[in-house]
Amino acid sequence: MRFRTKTILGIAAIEMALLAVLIGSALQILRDSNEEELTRRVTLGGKLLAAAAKDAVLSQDLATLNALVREAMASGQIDYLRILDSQGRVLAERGKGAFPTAPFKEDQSIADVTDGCFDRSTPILVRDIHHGEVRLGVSISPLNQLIITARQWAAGIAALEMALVALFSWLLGTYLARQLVALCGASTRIAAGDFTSRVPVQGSDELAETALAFNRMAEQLGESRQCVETESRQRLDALHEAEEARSRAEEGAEQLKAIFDLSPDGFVSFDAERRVKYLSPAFVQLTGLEAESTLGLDEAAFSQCLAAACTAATRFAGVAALRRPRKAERGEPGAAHERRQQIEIGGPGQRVIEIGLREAQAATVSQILYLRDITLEAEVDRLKSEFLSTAAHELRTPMASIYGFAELMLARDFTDTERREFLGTIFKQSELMVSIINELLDLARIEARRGKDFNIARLDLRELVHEIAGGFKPPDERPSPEEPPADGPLWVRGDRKKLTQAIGNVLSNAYKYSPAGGMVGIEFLAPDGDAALLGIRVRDQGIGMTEEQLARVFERFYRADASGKIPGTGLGMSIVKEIIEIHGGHVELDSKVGAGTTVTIWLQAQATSAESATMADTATGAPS
Amino acid sequence: MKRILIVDDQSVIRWMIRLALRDHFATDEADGAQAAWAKIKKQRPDGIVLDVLMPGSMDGFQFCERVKRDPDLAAIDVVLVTACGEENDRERGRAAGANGYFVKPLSPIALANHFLASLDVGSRQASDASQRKPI
Repeated sequence: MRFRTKTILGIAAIEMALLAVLIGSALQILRDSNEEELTRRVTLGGKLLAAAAKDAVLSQDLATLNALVREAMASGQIDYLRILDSQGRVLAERGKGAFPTAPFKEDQSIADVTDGCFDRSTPILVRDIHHGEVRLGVSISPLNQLIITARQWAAGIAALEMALVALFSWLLGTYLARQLVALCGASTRIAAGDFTSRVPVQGSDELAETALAFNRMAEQLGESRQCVETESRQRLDALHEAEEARSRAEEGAEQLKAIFDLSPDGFVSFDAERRVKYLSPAFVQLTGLEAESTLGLDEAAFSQCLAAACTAATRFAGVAALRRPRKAERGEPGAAHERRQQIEIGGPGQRVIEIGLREAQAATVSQILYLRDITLEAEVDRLKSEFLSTAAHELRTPMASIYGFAELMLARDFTDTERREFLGTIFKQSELMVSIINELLDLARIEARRGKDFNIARLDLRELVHEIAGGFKPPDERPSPEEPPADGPLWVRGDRKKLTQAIGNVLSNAYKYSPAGGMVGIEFLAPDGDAALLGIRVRDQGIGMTEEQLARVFERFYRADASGKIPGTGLGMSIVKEIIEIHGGHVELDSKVGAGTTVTIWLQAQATSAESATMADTATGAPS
Repeated sequence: MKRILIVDDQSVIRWMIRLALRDHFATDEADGAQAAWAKIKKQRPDGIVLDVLMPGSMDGFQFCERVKRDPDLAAIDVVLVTACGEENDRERGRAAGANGYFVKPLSPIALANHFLASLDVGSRQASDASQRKPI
């Protein structure tokens, strides 16, 4: 319910109640006084008429009585008048209209009136002796009429007053409500952020003062709001900048974290007091040192910890040792290179690690130790130098004969037969050197190209082996290798020349390592349940090998015969292995000392053309 | 005539060395450490030409040490012949007490001259080849 409605209803209710009480009591007073007056007048009139008529009643002077009655009636205020004698006979009477027919009944008060006429009887007494009575009636309708009129007036005035009050309160309420609505609207607008909003000021009443006060408040609010806004904008800008810097830092940190986490290189950062602050996962993996036991250690303790993890031969010299040379070189331009150290971590996962130190300028990070796993490089280096020294060693041996015999022939005198013998030896040893060099180059080429220069084609292995065996010249005019009986083609994919070289090497070994003779046999194998493989087995009845020797056959330059009686480079089987493995196959060896050796080359079988065609058709669903 | 034992697993090398020494020394040959030790015990040589890399349980360094430790044999002139010319190998040879260290390819004339000098055999050969150093 709105304020205005409440005001109007409230005022109306109070007005109505008060007016009702006022009008009620006024009408009551009016009625009471008029009744009293009427009663008094009737009583007085009765007494006066009784006194006036007394003599005439006593004398039975009817003319006087009639005159009296006529006179009394002339006043117009009496409805009827009747004078009776002591026996109740009518002596004189007169009325405005008809006399009441009902038996006379005196009314003590107006309230007793039932017939609209106030009836009163006044006895005519002479010395308390009843001589007659005067009966008169006065109509109470004028009185009632007066009351009704008065009530009507009062009601009219009350209605008018209520209407006026309602109108006034409506106007006042409207005005108040309008001001309040204006205040409310302005407050809402201010709340919404419009600080220019003002309440219209009218007049100089309390509402106007309120409006003024409100406007002042709005103004101050606007000002302080502006202040706050400026300040908060500045703060916001600062915050924004900080946020940007933070996100940039976060981005950097995220990238760094990813680098540290994913890098195969290990990192250790030290705080300003040169205590271990961070270890990257790779560090833990490389060194086997646990983060829990290492974090927070000072430089010396950390160095000791890391040194303890190293093998005795290459102990970590300490972080300080990595730093010192740089200090000494400080000031020299171009001397900023970092000193690095190689260490070897002991234990089962032996690793070679290169350690470097980078001194940092940051307030919280004094230096960063970085570790690079160079196990593979070190191993490759080691193998390379081992290979080189072995190769050099192997070349020195034939060279020794060539050099020595040549020198002897130059320095000493020998018979022609002897000289011929020496030259034969020199020639043979030169041949050996040439084949070593050729095979080394072959091996290097195969390893470097990893089959990229292989000319892979579909080959019938049976036909290929037949060709190799046919073209093979066994030493000492020994019989050619024994081949299995001719049968259908055995398809493989491979490089004809390389496979010829590999199989030729195996055949050549079979003859070389069976110097006492004996049969060299070839057979083909197709393992049960594995149609994907095809095997060529070369079997000899030669000297055979021990387990130890067998295990080293594929080593570069390894020769089962160290006596030099059997010529060879020690590279043949390495070449076989490389070629076959690049073809996706493998080589199997089996040997017994004195009983001979079998070498089995396994190659991936190629489905026959008919089979493969069928398979292709089945796969694509095309009609054959 | 002074005796020299040639120990090498390669017959062609033994033959070459034998040819170089045969004018001034009596030579004997062994193809491994075991055979060599047996021969030394049987007849003490004045010099030994010893291949460092030999098949078997004992290499030339160990064999040399064994000879030099034995008071009866310590005076024997031991010359090591090897295909390894690295400095640490030479060092090992010296440590083993070898009297000479030749790297393959070796000059057989220089080897002969070494024994001619050390075993004090007169009429040292003078030839251009004798002046050569081992490579």
